[in-house]
Amino acid sequence: MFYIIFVIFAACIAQMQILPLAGVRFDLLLIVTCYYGFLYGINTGLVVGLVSGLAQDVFSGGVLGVAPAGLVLCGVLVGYTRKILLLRYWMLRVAIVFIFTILNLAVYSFLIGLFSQGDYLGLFKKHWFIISTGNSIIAGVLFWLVDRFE
Amino acid sequence: MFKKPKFVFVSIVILIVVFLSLPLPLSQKVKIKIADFFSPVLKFSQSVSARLISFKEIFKSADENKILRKKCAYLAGRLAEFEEMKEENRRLKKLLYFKENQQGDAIVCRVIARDAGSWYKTLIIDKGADDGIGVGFPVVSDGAAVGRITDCDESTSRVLLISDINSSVGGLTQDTRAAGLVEGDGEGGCFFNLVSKKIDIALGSSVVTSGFGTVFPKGILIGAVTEVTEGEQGLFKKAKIELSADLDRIEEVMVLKKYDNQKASTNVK
Repeated sequence: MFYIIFVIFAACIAQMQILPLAGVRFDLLLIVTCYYGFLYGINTGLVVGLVSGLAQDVFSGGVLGVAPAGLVLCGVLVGYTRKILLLRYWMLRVAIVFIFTILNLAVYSFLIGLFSQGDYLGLFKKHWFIISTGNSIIAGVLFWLVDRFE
Repeated sequence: MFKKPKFVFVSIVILIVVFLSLPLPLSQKVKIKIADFFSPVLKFSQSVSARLISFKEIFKSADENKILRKKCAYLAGRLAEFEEMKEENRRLKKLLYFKENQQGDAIVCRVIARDAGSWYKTLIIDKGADDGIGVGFPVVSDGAAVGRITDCDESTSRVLLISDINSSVGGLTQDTRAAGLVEGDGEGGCFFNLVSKKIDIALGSSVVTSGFGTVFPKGILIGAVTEVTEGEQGLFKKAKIELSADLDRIEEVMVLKKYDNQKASTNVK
């Protein structure tokens, strides 16, 4: 448990220090949520999603509770996916990260649009592809490294 | 891990609804307190990150050095011209009995973390209320506008960047004095909105703060105009601004203490 919390914290710190590429920031906390959802199932995906989301919101300028909503949903769905698909294949996991990045971003953009003025859904439409692709590439590299050294 | 997934799911959903329902000032206060608690870790990680970036920069520095030498020589010439104009300006103001704004002190701060979210553009800096910083103070870097303080604890503060969608600052073009509202685009730049159709905006013209409002003093550089279009419903002009401050790579900023005709506040009790 403490190991998971340490990983979430490290991912949050890394996310804050990485410079954005092409003006957008990639989502390491989502990758962590998906990884633990793949590994341990729905419950762990839920809790890791909640803690990751809270960590992201604490160090963000946004409303507290918006990031957990998207990450918890992704954690649950990743846990269900683990039940119905054989996730031994690395490419399948990367594809799932791609899809859930889009879902998380859509939920996040919709919810913060409710609490603030500003065209966040417009930003989502403009950047969803590059963020999802970048996230998948980073997830692919990380999953490969973890699989190799486990 | 947990034996009853539905119970866990319902509990977490209730928790999220509770967080979303918290009054905004309370949740912002809690967040800045937690950020303040973790500020030593953030400072350490920022210094590691800065060393990695500077190591990479060594390889680019030779060519950049040549370019910068030429630029320095050119700027030295322009500086001499501006000194002359400044002196003339001073004499003319004296003649007109023009009272200049008294600028207060400035506090130099280090950026220790950037926003962890996807769309928000904020920074966390390593100074807070103990150093005299308060909510609403303007933040600049190398003479260019960066943002304003939105939350403040004893030793850390959060800066809302001018490129954030929620940011708006009064601005005007330096040449034609066209006034408008500089609003963040959420991607690292700004829009210059609500500009009168009767006034020209030239590409490349500098946009500075207008001083209309309670945040920025007048005359602080924001950026340069890169594109001019018609605004919504064709009533005003709209321009795209490339910011002078490199908000993605900023490492040190200066917080301007409020000057006489502005109110300062802090949300730290």
